[in-house]
Amino acid sequence: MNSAVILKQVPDTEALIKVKPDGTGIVKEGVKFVINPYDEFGVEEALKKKEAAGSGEVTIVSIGPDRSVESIRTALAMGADKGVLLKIGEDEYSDALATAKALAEELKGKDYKIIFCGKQAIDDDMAQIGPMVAELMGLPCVTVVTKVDVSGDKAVCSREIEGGKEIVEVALPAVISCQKGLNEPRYASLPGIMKAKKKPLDIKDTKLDAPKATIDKWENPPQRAAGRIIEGDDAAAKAAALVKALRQEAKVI
Amino acid sequence: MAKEVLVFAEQRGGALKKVSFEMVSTGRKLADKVGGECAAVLVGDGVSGIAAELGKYGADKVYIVEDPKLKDYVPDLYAQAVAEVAKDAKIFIGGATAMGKDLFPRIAARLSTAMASDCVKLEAEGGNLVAFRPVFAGKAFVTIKISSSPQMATGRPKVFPADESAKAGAVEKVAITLDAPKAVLKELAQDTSGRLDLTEADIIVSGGRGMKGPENYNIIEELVDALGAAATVGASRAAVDAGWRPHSDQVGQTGKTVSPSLYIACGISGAIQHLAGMGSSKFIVAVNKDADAPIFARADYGIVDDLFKVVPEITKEVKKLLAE
Amino acid sequence: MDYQISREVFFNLGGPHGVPRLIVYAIALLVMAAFIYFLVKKIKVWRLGQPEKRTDKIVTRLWGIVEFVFLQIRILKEKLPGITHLFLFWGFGVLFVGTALIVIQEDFTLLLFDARFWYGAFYKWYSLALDLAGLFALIAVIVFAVIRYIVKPERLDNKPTDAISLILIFLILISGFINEGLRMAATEVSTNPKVAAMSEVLAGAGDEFLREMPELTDEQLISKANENPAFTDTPITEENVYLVRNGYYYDNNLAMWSPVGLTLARAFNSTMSEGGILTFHKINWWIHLLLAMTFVVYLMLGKLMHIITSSLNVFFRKLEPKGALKPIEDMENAESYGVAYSEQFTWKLLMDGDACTHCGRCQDNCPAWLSDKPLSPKKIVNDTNDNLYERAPQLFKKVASEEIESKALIGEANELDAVWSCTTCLACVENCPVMIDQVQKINEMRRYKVLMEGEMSKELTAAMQNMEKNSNPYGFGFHERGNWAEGLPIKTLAEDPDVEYLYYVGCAGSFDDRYKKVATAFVKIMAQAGVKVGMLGQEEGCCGDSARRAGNEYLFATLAQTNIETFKSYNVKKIVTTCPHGYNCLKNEYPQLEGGKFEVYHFTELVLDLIKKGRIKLNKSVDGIKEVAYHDSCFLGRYNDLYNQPREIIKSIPGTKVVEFTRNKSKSYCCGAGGARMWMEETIGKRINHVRTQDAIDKEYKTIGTACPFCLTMLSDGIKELGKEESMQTIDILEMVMKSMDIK
Repeated sequence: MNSAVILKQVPDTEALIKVKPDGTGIVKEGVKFVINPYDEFGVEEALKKKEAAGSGEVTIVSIGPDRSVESIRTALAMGADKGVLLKIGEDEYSDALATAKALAEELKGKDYKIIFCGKQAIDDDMAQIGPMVAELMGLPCVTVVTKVDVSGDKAVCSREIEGGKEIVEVALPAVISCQKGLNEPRYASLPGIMKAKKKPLDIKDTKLDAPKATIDKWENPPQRAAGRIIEGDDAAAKAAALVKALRQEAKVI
Repeated sequence: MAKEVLVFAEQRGGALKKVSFEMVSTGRKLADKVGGECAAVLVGDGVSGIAAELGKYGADKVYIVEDPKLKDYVPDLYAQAVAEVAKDAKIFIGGATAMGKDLFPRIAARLSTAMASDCVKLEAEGGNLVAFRPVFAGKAFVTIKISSSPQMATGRPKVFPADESAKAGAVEKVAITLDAPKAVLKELAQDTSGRLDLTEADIIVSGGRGMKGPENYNIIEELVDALGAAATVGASRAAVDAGWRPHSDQVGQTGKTVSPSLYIACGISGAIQHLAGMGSSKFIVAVNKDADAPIFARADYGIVDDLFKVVPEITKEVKKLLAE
Repeated sequence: MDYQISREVFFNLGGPHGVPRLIVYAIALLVMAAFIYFLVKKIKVWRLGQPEKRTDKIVTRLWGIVEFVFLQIRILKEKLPGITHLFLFWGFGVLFVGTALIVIQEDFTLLLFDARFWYGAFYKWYSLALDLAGLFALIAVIVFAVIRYIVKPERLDNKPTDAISLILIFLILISGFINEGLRMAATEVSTNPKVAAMSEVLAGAGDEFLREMPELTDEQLISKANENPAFTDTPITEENVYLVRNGYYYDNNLAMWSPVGLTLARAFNSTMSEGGILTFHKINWWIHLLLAMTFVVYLMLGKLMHIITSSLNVFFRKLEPKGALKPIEDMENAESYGVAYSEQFTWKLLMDGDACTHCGRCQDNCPAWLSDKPLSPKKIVNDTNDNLYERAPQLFKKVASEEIESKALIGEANELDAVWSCTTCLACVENCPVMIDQVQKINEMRRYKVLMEGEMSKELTAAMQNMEKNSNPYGFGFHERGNWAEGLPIKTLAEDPDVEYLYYVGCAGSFDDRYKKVATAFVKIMAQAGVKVGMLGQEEGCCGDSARRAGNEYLFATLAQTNIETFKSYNVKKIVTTCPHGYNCLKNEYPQLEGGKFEVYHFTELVLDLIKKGRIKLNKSVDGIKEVAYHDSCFLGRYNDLYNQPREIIKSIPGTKVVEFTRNKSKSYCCGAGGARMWMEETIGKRINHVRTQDAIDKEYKTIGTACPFCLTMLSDGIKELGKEESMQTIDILEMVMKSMDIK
């Protein structure tokens, strides 16, 4: 079963994000970049499905600057077969729609039974690429998926909704956006890491459409005023003082 | 037809979601600023009856698309139906719920327009939408403007006030011939924990690495039970990665981003990726025995003590208070 | 005549010229051939393993034989079994050497140089030595039998070969003594008056006759005697020639030098006739011989093999720092990593399996085993060995490793949980009397699981990913690494590279809230003592200890190399650490990498030195603490022999004394966090930290002193989880020093 995984390189969850003083973006120096964690679930699921089918190829498709190669290689080390980087400049920006168009262009006409992607990238948190790519390619899309069972030309997916889940049956090919819980991404083996260095990785210079959604300004989050430490003789006294404050000052309980 | 501002009204099982009122109320304010009508679009089967409720929050008009096929959320069909109504709107907004997050990007792609997701502030400036939203799960914020039409955005639940402002709420039914769906809902499974989803809860009590093990979460559960039905249990990534709690409980950058009225962090030191996920909570309480834990810098109230002693005491106090 | 103070070779069996001697030599040749055949077979099996150089530093290696084989230093760590083994080893050893001396005289010195040494005063002492050696060995065998079959400690698993070996040795010793007794009954203390009379006759036969006599055949003796005037009254015939021979050695005084033999001889003489004694001797002699020959063959077949293999194992032992794991050579080009098939171990690790004596000391000291986990280091060694011999025949037929039908090394021969239960505390290695390296074996299997299969527990995977992304297992952002030191009198090398020591803080000092306080104490102490230390702040990375011990050699190498580059860029020479894991890693393992040699100290070394020099002044006792139970960190103690430094520091604090856990120093019980166990859930059996904390509770100790962040965490948790928070506490030595110096 051939499948593709849309992968984005993003700053690590623990990275310190600082907005540039001129408000035009974030400071990237000293930031560790990693595979978007939700995309990693996509890579794992694609590999699992390929292994279950016993044949097929997993292709990693990414848009980003040169450094994204490192993340594609990580996915190749996990077991993906080949990679494509639609290369843009480090500070080149466009919106999700333009990005989705470029991805759809790259993905179309290939024999991918499932196109996996993360439910969102943890940098811009837009959560738009999956459904947009699907719409642009005329494919169905299931988002926020925690389980995928493929049988023939159909897949049955579980997706998370508020307070429960939906079981959705979808015709393949389809786009599936992955949520934590779908699987445990494998730890790349050392032979995998070594082999990944030799797997095909196609780097294509790409020009994205001009954005229709533009970022006017970047800002640091509003500072919260420091709170107060509740003192007391023992745990019980502190607890009583807290509950009183929550009732009388904060009025939240 | 001057559809200056259109709001997607989300219903599940024939009942409108609270976020729908929040967004209609927001749409009302935008329409007033822009100078035009605030309309809502309601999709479902036999939903005419609930349309009037939207009027209470400021909808001048409600477009209704009714079809037995639309009883449950079917992404393709909903997208087709809503896009049909939204295509000539100037501004189109909805709640950033599971449904909204799924539906809006499809519509945007269909209408070849851009959108801003999960916004915490939506304003109008010179007749255009200005969206303010967190990125990096709240480590930074951006202001977005959209040049294409409709200007689309989703708003984070529980952030926008649902202010009442009675309007006509006239109903207009829209007839659409629906395509065959490519994905169909087979089953809707409710959570069996009986607790609210993190994103919908008013009070969240979270436990982190300081909980030491899964067996100790009972003290958190007991506090949540004492706090009532609006409360639920959360966890930090450390606790979820250790397998102590299911991933659906995780608050943080790779978990859920939440904005409850009260967030009680127990044994959570406050790693940046956790703070990112709960930083927009209205009131934050931290219980940690390390006075230097970063969580205290974000907390409104802090208790420096052993959570295993403090939390049961808080439970006792809460029970006492609520029994009065 | 001095020659008479000796005994006849092949006494009662035709003497030196008899047929039995030829038969014995023929049997001995066959037995030697069998011994060599079985030895070569073993060597061939060991050679199925991978190459490893263990022939450097020959003198050190040979000295090891003296220390660990002849002096039995390691074996003596356990008193009763140790001394018993020493008795048996030296007892049997002396008997062996004694027997060999006769062969040397008869087949070499006498043949080639016509020289004797086995007589006279030498023979007296020789007799006494062998007699006592036999007695000691016999006592040892009996004690061993009692331990093994009556006391039955858990560490011993009784296999048939144990019983066979003990019985064999017992019978050899007993039949030897019977031989001696019978021989003495017929010669030295014969009660046959004719023997005593013959002895009188011989006294007058002249020195020349007496000197020649032992060499003569019966025929020659008869003719020579009859020519000698002394024998005029007692003509010698074939019938009474034996009286000449036996009378030659008739000597009640000499008999005193063989007290055991003498006792038996008297017993035989009082119950048996001379004819009976001589017949019985003949039969018993052959039994003794065959038993001895069986022993030689059995040397390569069963339990007794350890006499050969353990000695070889000592010679080929690891001479690198004991705290250093063996690196994977040429990681870039290797085709596989770690060990999934027993033949992938190095030949030395395979030899370990045959060197093992099953004494169970490793198991007795293993924190995993003692907390009811499936790991026994002994089982790892033995089960791996069984697996090797299951595979060996097919390997000799050149069947490819993957195609060989046998139990899987990991998962079947060795339980996977056993492989992951190891805390790498080194208690097994340090307590093994025959220098087996259990920890390297376990690590090789972990390497396979992690590097080849990427398979490990969820929590460990997360820790490794954290190390990869943020260079610390906790998962904090790497940029936060230096934050703990804000406002403290220490700068980063980027700010001021001119320092005496680089303080390598490590992940715990940087991120663990509890241990940050210890790191802070260290910085304040150094400032007060006037020692200029600097740190790397966010340029510092994880040392890689946990990664390496979890089997992730690749991650270790990456982390280590990054640190080494950073150290080099600041021209760092001397490094001090507070964490023993970083200490061991930097000191013993970084030198395996290019440019990784630095002078590395642990704070206990540095602080003690400063106390001795008077630069650290300990003024007062700490919080009224009068006694501290010092818990040895494995990575300080067993890994680096820093047992005394921490104790000395505590003792230097006024009014403070050190009390000991029952299990201490090289037998100290791990806290449970080594070997990357810090980052794994402990779900099987008892919790190791609870067991250790209970040790202190049992002794009613109030304060546990530590010098390691992991120990501090584990024992603090132990105290809490066992509900002893009110009455017990943990404290790091540095915190005590700081308070005693009166630093706020």
